[in-house]
Amino acid sequence: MSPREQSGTDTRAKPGASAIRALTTAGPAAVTVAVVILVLALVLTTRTFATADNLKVVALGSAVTIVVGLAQMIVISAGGMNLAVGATGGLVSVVCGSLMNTYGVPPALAVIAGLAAGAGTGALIGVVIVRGFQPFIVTLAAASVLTGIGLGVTESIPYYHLPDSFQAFGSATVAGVPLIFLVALLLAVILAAMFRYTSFGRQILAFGANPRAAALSGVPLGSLQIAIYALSGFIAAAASVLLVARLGNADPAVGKDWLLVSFAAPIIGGTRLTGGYASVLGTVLGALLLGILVNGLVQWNVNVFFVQLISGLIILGAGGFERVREVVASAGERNERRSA
Amino acid sequence: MTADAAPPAAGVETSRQEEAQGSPSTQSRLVRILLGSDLVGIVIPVLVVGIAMASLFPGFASSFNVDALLATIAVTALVGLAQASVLAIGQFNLALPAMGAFTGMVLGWLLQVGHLPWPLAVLLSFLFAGLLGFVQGAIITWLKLNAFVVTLGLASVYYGAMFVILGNERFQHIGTELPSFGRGATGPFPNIFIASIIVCIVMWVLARFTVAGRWLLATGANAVAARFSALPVDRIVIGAHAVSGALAGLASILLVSRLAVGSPAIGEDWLLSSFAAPVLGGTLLSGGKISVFGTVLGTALLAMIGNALVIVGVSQYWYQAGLGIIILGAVSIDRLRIGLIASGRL
Repeated sequence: MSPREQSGTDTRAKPGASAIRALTTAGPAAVTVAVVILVLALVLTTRTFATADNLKVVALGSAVTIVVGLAQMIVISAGGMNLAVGATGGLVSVVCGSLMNTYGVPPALAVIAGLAAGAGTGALIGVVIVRGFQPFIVTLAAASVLTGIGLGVTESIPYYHLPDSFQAFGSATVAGVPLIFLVALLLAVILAAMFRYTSFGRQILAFGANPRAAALSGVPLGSLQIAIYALSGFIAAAASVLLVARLGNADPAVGKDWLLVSFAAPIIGGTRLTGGYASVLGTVLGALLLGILVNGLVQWNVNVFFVQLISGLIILGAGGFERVREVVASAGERNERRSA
Repeated sequence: MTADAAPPAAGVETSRQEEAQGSPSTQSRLVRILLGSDLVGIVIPVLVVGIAMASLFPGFASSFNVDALLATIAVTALVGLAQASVLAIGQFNLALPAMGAFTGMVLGWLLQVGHLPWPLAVLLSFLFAGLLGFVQGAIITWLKLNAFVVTLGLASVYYGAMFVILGNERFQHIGTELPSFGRGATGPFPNIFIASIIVCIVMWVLARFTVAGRWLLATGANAVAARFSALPVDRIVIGAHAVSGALAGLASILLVSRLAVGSPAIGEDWLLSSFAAPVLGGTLLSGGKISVFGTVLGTALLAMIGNALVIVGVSQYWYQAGLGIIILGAVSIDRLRIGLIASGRL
């Protein structure tokens, strides 16, 4: 898949080249192929992967990763980044946990409060970024503030006494499929519809592709950016609620290890770091790829420390893939210009 | 990220030159002194906090506390400089903590398992740290990958490789010679503080008086202009990352010598202060500027605030929350300065 091949005189004449083009330009195509290959390899080499119990484990693990990836994808597609996704999750865990455990608030209300807290912190981050600060440093600092507050309030001790009904939500299944996995998919469908059918979704992409052009076209940049970060915070809060329900306790350390996967899932799925393009399906598949891979490494008896190494290599590979895609895209543009 | 940051920084340089020839501005002299100089803005808070602490708490100026404070500054200053050397080219290094941990573990392994004499072990682990940074810079420039994704991914790769190769056990039996240096003091100054200051002076000379230093800043101010001026931009970017890794490694080596243990936990809490210290000291996030002694003073301010909270009995968690707010405050001042420079008032 050398980029040099693609910058040749007329790639469209070669049938092989068009397959490469399809893989590298259509967002989720490559990750779909990767997921299929990985699943086939696991089914063929292990007897334990394709069992109902194991697939349930994969679905439970992937549910949270999907939502975490979506929280980051929203911001990336607008040309920004949110290093506070994990810290927002941690704070929401504390909010929900303390409301249910200490104040006896019904789970539904506590969840609503947690989601509101996530959206609120996201909006605050957006307010600062709108004033012209780099998203990187603002969200890095915000992550420290949110984590510090969560740990300071709880002294780093999780809330263990959550209502049974809430814990039941975390372990419930519908036709054998974990409920939280279905919730994650539902959220993905709603976001996909938002990008496809609402002007808000299109404004996010327009802003990510070219902020100046978006402003000239009458997109309200200030409120748009605040809404984007609020939405990211809201989705991060949803991820936290799902994880807390699954774990059965509300740990302020929730979200500590989300940073890498939050970027890995969307990038693997074809979302461009430069903004202007989002793939909800790609992010879901990217998260699934990571979830299946972790599970597969366990099935293959690989040292757990390799998981971290391989996750890092995957995100480097995804970055490399994005680069290939850029090269192919610009070569394609050159060809079109030449033929026109 | 470089491409985004470069154009405004280029504007900064031009308008500063125009200002030098234009009429003197009528802005308040005090504001100009406070915001215009890299150092004055940070010297005053350091002095104020230092004097206030010394007069409020008798224990603050005790030799034990000063020793602990200077040791903290010694390590954090190098961590801050490690970040500053990539900030100077308008990039970030998220893999700093991983580089620190990996280097510390390698040093521990060389001493405990390899039984190497400590100067050789220190030299090898220093070179290893430089190599970690070199690899990072090479991936960014040769493969033309997004710098943010590369440092994020490599952080995970380095941690993973460290655990896979060296395990997750700390190296506690590293002999007595290196720790006796690390725990020793010359007069009132801990040895590692003196070592750190020497490294800082070397960095200052490199940044200020060498061609490489000027190339580094020129690349950070405007990478495109630097490329058109026939500067070896690729080599400069790789060099900045190699220096970043080497400095992170030095910080780790000092910490190992002080704690007498090579541990995977080294570097865990470096990331935030690595940004806070340079930015407090006047290094611009957008690239094109590095303030070595500003970074040291920024470190001193952070260390004193952390120390004050310990003395008052506030939990470390609230320090973390406060650190985030300090960073936000520092970037606000940073932005104010860029605005004033760009509009020609400084």
